[in-house]
Amino acid sequence: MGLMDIFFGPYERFGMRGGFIILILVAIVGGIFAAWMWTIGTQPLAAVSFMLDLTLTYGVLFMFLYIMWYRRPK
Amino acid sequence: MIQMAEKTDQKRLISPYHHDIQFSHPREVIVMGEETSVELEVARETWVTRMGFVFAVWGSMTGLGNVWNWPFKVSVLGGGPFVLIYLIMLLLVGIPVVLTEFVLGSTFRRGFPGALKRIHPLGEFLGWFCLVNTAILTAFYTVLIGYAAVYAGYAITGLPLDGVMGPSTFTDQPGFFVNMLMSPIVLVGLIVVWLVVFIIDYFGTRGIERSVMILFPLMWIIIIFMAFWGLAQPNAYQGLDFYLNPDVEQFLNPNMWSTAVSLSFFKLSAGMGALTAYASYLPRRGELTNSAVTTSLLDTTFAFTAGMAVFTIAATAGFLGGGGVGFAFVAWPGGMVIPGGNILGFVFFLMMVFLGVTSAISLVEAIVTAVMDKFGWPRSKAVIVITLILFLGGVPFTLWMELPDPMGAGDVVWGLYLLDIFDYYVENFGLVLVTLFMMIIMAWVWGGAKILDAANEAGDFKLPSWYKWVVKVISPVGIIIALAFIIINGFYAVGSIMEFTAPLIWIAICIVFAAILWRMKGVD
Repeated sequence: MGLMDIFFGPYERFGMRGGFIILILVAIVGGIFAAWMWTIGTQPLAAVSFMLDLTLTYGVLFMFLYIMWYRRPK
Repeated sequence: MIQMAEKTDQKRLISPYHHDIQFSHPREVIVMGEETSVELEVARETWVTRMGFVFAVWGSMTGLGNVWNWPFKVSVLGGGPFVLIYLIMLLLVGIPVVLTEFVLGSTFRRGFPGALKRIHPLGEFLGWFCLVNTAILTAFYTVLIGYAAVYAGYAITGLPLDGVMGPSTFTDQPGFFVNMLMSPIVLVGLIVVWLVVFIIDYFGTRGIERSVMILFPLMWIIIIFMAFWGLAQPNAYQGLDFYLNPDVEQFLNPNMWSTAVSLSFFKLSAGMGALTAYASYLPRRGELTNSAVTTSLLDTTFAFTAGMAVFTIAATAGFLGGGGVGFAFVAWPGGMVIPGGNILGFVFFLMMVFLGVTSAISLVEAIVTAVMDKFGWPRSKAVIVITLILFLGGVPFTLWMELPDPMGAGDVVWGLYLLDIFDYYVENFGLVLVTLFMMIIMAWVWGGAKILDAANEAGDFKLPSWYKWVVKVISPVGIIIALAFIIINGFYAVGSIMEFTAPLIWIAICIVFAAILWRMKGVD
C-alpha cells in the first residue's frame, strides 16, 4: 500500500486519505508534547517513545473511527 | 450439495442491551455450504445499530484491566518499552484473536461452547473449559470492583477506615489499603457489587448502553485530566522515564513479550467467551473488521492514558517502583490529595466500579448465554444460579485473616494472597491456552480462508488474502512462544502449600466442570 495509493488510489475510497491525514496530525501533536516533555527533564528516548505511542494508539484509533464514519450508511 | 435450513422457531431470547436488539428477519432462510451440516437455527435477536455493538464491546473490554491490571503489570515489569511491545503484540495477536472471536460468534450465532461445537465435537469441551476459567476470573474480578466500591464510599465520607486515628484514603494510602484487606468491609463491597450485577442481568440491561455512551467519555475526560495533573507535578519526568523510556535490554526480556500477550487477552476480554456471545447477536453481514480494530484501540488508548496518569502521580507520591497487585489502589489515591480530592476520588472510584460492572456483566452474560443455549433454561433461572455460584466463588478472595508469610517477608492477607495466585494462573495460563486452541480450531479445522471471507463479507475495508496466514500461523505461533516463555519463567513462586496446590485446584476445577458440562445432555 503505497502513499500514492492511499491518497489517490483504490484505498482512498475507504476513507484512507482523511484517516491518514488525521494520523499525521496526531503525530504532530505528539511531537509537540514530546518536545515539552524533554524540556521538563524527560529522557529524549522517552519523549520520542511517547510520540510514537500516541500516534500508534490515538492516531490509529482516530484513523479507523474516521473510516467507520466515512463508510456509514448514507 | 447445498443444503438449506429454515428458521422456524420464533423463541425470543433476551440478550444484553436488549432494548437495542430486535429480530432482524422474522423468517429467514440460511444457505449453508456443502461441508456444513444442516442446522436448524432459532431466530436470534440482533443489534439494531452498529455503534450499539461497538459500545457494548468497548464496555466489556475497558474495565479494571486498564486502571488496575495495566499499572500493576507495567510496574512489576519495570515499565520501559512495555507500551511498544504491547502494541506490537496487539497487532500480531490481540486484534486477530478479537476478529476471530467476532467471526465465531457472528457465523454460528451461539455462545462460545455452542459455536465451537459446530466446528468440532471437542470444541464444546474447550468452550466450557473457557467459561469455567472465566467464572473463576469473574469471582476475583468482582472482589476488585468491591475494593473500588469501598474506596468510593470512604473517599466521599473522608472517614478513616480503622477508627478516628486510622489511615484514610488521603492520609496514608498503603495503610488504608492494608487495613481494608484486613477487614470484612471487602465482603460488604462484594455483596453490593453482586447485587448490582444481578439486578442488571436479571431485569435486563436497558439503559446500560446509553450509560456507557455518556459515562465512558466522562471517565476518559477524568483520566485525561489526571494525566495532565500528573504531568504538571514536579517529579512527572521520573514517572515518564519509568513508563516510556525504552531500554534495549528490556526489549529482550521474554517476560515483557509474554505478559503483553496475556495482558492483551485480559484487557480485550479475549478467550473469555464474552466477545463471541456479543457477536452472536450481530445481524448477518454485520461489520466485523473495523469493529475489531476500533474496539481494541479504544481499550488500548484508555490504558495508555491511564498509565500516563498513574505513573506521573506515583512518581510524585513516592510509590514508583513499588509494583504489586495492590499498586493501583495505592497510587491512584496518591493523586487525589488536592482541594476537592474527595469529590474527585468518589467520582473516579465510582467510575471504576462502573467500568468493572460493565465488564463483569459481559462475563456473566457469556456464561448465561452458553447455559441458556445448551440447557434451554429461562434467563431468570440461569442468572440466579450463575450469579449465586460466582458470588460464593468470590468469598474466599475477601478473607481478611492474616497468613504468616512462609518466605519470612511479613504476613500476608489470605484474600489478596489467593487473588494474586489465581490471577496468575487464570490470566497467564487459562486465557492463553483457551485462545491458542480456539485459534487452532478456527484457523486450521474450520479454515483461515473462511475467517477471511466472513470478515470481508461486510467489512469497511477488505483484508488482503495473505491475512489468513496471520490467523493460521503468526497469531498461534505468537501465542505458543508467549506460553513457552510463561512456562520457562516458572510457576508462581512456590513458597507454601497453597502456592503449590493452587494451580492444581485451578486446573482440576476447569477440567472437571468443563467435562461435566460437556457431557451433560442439553437441548442445543
